[in-house]
Amino acid sequence: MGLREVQTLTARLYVDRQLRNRFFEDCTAVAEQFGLSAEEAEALQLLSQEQVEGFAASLKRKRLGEVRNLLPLTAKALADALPQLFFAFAERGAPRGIARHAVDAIAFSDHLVTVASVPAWITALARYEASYLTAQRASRCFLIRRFDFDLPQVVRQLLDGQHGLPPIRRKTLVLWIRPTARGRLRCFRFYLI
Amino acid sequence: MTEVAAVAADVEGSEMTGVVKTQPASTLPVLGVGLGYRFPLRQSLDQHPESVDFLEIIADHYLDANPRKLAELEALRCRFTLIPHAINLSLGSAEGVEPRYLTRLAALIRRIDPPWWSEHLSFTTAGEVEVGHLCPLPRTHETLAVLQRNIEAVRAAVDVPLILENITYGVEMPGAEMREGKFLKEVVARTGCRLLLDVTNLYINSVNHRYDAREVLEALSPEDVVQLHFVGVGTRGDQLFDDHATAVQEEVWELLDRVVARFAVKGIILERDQKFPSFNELVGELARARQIGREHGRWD
Repeated sequence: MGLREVQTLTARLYVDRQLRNRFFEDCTAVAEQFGLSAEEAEALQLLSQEQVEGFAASLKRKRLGEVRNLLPLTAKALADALPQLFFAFAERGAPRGIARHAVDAIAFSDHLVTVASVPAWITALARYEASYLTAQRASRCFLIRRFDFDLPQVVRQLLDGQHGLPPIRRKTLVLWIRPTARGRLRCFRFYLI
Repeated sequence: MTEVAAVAADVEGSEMTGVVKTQPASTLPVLGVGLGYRFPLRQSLDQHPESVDFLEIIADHYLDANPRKLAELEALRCRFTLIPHAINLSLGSAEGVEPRYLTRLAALIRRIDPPWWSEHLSFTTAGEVEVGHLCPLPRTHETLAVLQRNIEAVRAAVDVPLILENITYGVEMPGAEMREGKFLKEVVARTGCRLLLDVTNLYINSVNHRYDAREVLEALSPEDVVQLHFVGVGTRGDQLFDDHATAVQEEVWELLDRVVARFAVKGIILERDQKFPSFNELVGELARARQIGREHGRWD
């Protein structure tokens, strides 16, 4: 069996739901599309759909776990809604690079802004945490973000279990700064009048 | 776009190139028992460094590191023997290993100067898709040829012994030409690399895929295994999985004991990644593993 072609196909199967559906409907056609011979396609028919689907699901769960660690306040705010929101986002494709999990978390935060059902205070929280990730990854940093909520108050309410109360809207500027590569990342908040 | 190593070559019809000479196991130091280093454990390790004999670090955490992260690594290196454990070299990829990743990994390993380092018998990247996890390889002669070729390329860049870890596999790749024990033995013979035997992964695979783990052990020679991983097992329905989040069950302890009895291991790492219990509980598991090594004469 051509290992390169098999790996190219299986890697795509693991991350692409539409391709998986097509493959298990017509394995031969999809395999030939990836350059496998008819004989190799026939061998790949032995791939277990249950196993492949299980592995694909585990990949998304792994990504979800990493994002949960990187956006802990957002994860707490979204609570039971997080998995469904993330798995829908994850269908768009797998992140790349050494810092893939941070990239994934930042992209998910961006995605939440587009989801109408997610309250604005949660998207603000997600943007805040994603901005911190961006600042943390930089050797030197000067990053400013504007938010429409009093984020410290939002976080206090969240951690006290009081996020049912309406969050206070307050225009806020947050500045992350690390002037030198070895310096500490510092964060400053300014309330705008 | 990811660059692909130019060393990739057509392996169709490639012949087995025979046995590669391996560095004698007796030249590798006995390290003892340790932990996979994770940030939540940092404070406890600072306060109780005597609880571990060595640490295993995830190499990828330090490849794109800022100066503060590198300073953390240097502080660890000064206090502990560190074994780098890489994740994304994709040694089983027929496309070859990614040269920029290899270059950065080689620099990290030189910085750490370990007695050995480790990677996985898997692929993580193919056709410009980064799967984000360790994917299974078919147990075929072609796979062995790919591993041999990739490891030769790695050896040209990294002059430190490499050991190879068995992974859990949820997908059984069709077309297997040999059973798992034979495959691991052939890996040792063809690549010149010894093994990082993940006892938990072996246990999980043996249950999920219904085979006797002893069959794998009996296919290997005592000097084939340098280091072990172990941790508790997660369950999802009737399947086991490696969540690295659970205390070690008796079935894993029994297999660990059997492995340490058979193989001249130099080190054992408890690989707990999440849902950390008290540090005392982890130290208790380390103590039990250390005692197993002592009982089988692996260390004092």
